[in-house]
Amino acid sequence: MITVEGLSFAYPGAAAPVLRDVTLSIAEGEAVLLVGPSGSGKSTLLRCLNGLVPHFHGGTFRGRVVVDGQDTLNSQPRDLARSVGMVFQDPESQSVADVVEDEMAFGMENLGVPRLTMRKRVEEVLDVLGIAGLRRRRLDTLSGGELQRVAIGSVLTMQPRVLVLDEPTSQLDPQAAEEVLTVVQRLNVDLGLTVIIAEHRLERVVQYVDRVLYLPGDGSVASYDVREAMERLPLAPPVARLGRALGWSPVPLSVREGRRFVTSRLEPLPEDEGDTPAGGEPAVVLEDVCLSYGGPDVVRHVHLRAHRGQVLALMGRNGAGKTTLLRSVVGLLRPRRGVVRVLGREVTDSQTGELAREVALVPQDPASVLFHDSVEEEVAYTLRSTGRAGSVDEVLGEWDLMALRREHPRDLSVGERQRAALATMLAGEPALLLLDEPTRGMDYGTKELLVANLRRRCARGCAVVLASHDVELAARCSQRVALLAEGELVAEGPTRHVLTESLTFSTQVNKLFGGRFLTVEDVLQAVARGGRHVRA
Amino acid sequence: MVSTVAWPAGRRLHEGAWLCWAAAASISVFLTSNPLYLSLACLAGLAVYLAVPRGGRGQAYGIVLKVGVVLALLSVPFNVLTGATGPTVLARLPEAGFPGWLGGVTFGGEVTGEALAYAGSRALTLVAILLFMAAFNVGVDHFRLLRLAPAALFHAGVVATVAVLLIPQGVAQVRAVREAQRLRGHRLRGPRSLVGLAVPVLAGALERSIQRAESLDARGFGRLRAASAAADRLVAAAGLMGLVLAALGGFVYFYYSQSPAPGVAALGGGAGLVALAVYAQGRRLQRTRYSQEQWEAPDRWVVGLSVASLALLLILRGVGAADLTYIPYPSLAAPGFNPAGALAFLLLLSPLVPLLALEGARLERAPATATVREGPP
Repeated sequence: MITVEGLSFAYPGAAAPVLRDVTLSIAEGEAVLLVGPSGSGKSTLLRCLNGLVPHFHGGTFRGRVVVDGQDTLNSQPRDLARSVGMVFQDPESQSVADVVEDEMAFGMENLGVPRLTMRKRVEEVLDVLGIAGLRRRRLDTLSGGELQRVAIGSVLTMQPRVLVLDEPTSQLDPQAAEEVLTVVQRLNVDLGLTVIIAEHRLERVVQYVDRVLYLPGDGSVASYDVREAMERLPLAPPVARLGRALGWSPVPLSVREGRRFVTSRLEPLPEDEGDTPAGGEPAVVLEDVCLSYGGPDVVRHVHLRAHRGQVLALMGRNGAGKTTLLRSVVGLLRPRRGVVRVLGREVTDSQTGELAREVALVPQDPASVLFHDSVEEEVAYTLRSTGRAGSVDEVLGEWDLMALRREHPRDLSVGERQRAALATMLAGEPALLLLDEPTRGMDYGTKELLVANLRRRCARGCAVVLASHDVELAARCSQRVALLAEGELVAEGPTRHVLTESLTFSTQVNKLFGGRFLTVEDVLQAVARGGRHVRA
Repeated sequence: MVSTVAWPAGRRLHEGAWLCWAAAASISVFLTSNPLYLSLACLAGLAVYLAVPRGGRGQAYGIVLKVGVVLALLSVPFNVLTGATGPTVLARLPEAGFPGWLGGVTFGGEVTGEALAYAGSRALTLVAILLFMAAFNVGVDHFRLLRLAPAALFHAGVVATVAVLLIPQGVAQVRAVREAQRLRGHRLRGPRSLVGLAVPVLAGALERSIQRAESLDARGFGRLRAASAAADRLVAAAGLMGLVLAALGGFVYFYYSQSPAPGVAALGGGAGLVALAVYAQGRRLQRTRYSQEQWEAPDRWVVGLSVASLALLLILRGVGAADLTYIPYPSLAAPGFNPAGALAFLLLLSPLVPLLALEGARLERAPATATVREGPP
């Protein structure tokens, strides 16, 4: 279906090629996962498949890409549209029409499909994607997951033979991401569509794919069978990491597969283990806080404390009020009722600027905090404005940004920019750090950097509030968890208590072993003590 | 009646009906200068604007509308202060004149009732047009409107539609960047910090535009049926020649008005050539159109009432009845009022009934449309 021969490509003006002598082939009906750190060329490789590279972007292109019998050098992307359907990261930047139905028909109109056929195909695709109920909805009233499914639908109506998805869930919350990935898997299994997908949420997709293409970042592409990849690549979901550590063979790809290896329950963890003592003095105190944007209350009667030296994970569905709560802490939103105290002082909305010295909030779209011409200027600005003595080099080194220091933030890949934003916001050594969905679309390496960084910060007495859906992240680095639902606090307590008592917010390891186990490390420790409860 | 017509879920007013209403409404405003009728027109526009269900784009238009209305209202004191004549002197202000080489405009001096009435009715015209356009733009489905246009204009149209989509995104982006910068202790001070605000906003907009362009390209937008290069050049040349010819014709027509024939001929010939080129280009596009909405009874009502309103006004103007024109000079007088004229403007409320009926239907079904899938399990 797809053959790539000796492909090398460099963007115009770039010193080094993004892809170097890549050769691979993908058979019809295969599901292929592209993984690799951000900036390693995943998006570029995907764009080679429908001719956007080089026709749209220009640059130096060598080698050959043949898709469905057409050489991409001889065909424009718009002509390849019949063979390759492409879905992009941001669901909001892909639409043209006002109404779902029209959006789905747009591609077919361009191909000149007869009207009656269009009607039929729109019906079919709506059914396949399970969005028939959205047919007449306006696009601006849809949620991110719905929008992304409409985007998939609008390329499916053109009946492509290959579906290419470039991190389709990186802008979505887990619920919406699940919706999208389920649909993609069904298209591959039921319709035999060839699917090529770049995705960071390995635990959600590895079980559905046949093959993994790994881009280490030097321009090369290595192809692995999916199990082989889980055995050898540095990045793997917790259940595969556990399998690797305990020598399970073959390495399980899902919790379901992992269950076969668990013959008896591990000895329960001692009651007090892992429960950290109460942290230092409270850095944030919310007392009976109600928040609204003029309408009904988005957050209702919340009492909450975040202590110095601890990470508090703020969890809950999309729209549960997590972002709103964080906004009130930095004074961007004045509480309708109740008191917000930060570092001992009551917050009023005029203080956001003063608070910036001691409190840092990394917003959901990290790019919005960057406004200088280079990464190092961003960091230098933070150091200057917060009056901290720190060296720019040190901060850049910590976040693996030395090589990118002179780049313009907008020239970075999405993941690199996220790293730059974190480095920038955290450089000022804030006493209170608020992170809003920091791991959305984040690659494996950056996540590790973040976890290590948060641990160091806590040790120095910083208080961290982490709003996130990422259960594995919360399990690894938070001491307390607060669960929000519909703006109300439904559970608050030590991470181990809250996450092991939850159905939806539980880790892969907890699903496997139950009890009070949360992380791979927990299990490994227990195995080291107790020995043979897990069959190798 | 209209409100009892069963509309399919999510059905909106037909874009043809919207177009008809907007045309009738805007023309009607130019047919009168009577402030009483103009006020009625403003009220009709406001009522329709408020009844239109609004999404993200509606908010952006709200801002555009506010700015427009403020500018229109500011034109009143400006006009009164610069061009005051008439016997009804309301106040005397100190006078300040510009020298002749700067236009010789005089500020201040006598403030007359006549000037006030005149400026007021001009401002009302502006406000009415703004309201009509805002209601039309928020209410109509731009993409479907575009399908009504000739195929050759489709591409330009899509680009324009996408540009319209950028407005609400831009507003949201400005807000996000402002907040992020406040969080970093950065305050808006001086032009340098405005650059700091503009750069991330513009760069973000550009990035999203590129992604949208990629997405359009990947969905076959701009695809042409294969044609020979020679034919391509011929079509382009014909279009260009037509434009030049039409421009020349227009020039000749206006400057040599004593003998209009050659000008008119060139204008017509040029226009014909352009139309031919557009047609030929459109044929190469090989586009098909997804089924258009059927005209339902409410759509026909709106068209009928809009046409009736316009026809009534034209008749009234033709017979010189109903005091449609109001000129406060030479001396101030109360504007006339005639029920027939008022009726003509009230007819512009026609989209209101189907809009409110639709809104009611939407509210009743609101929980269902959000989650329930259609069809048997």
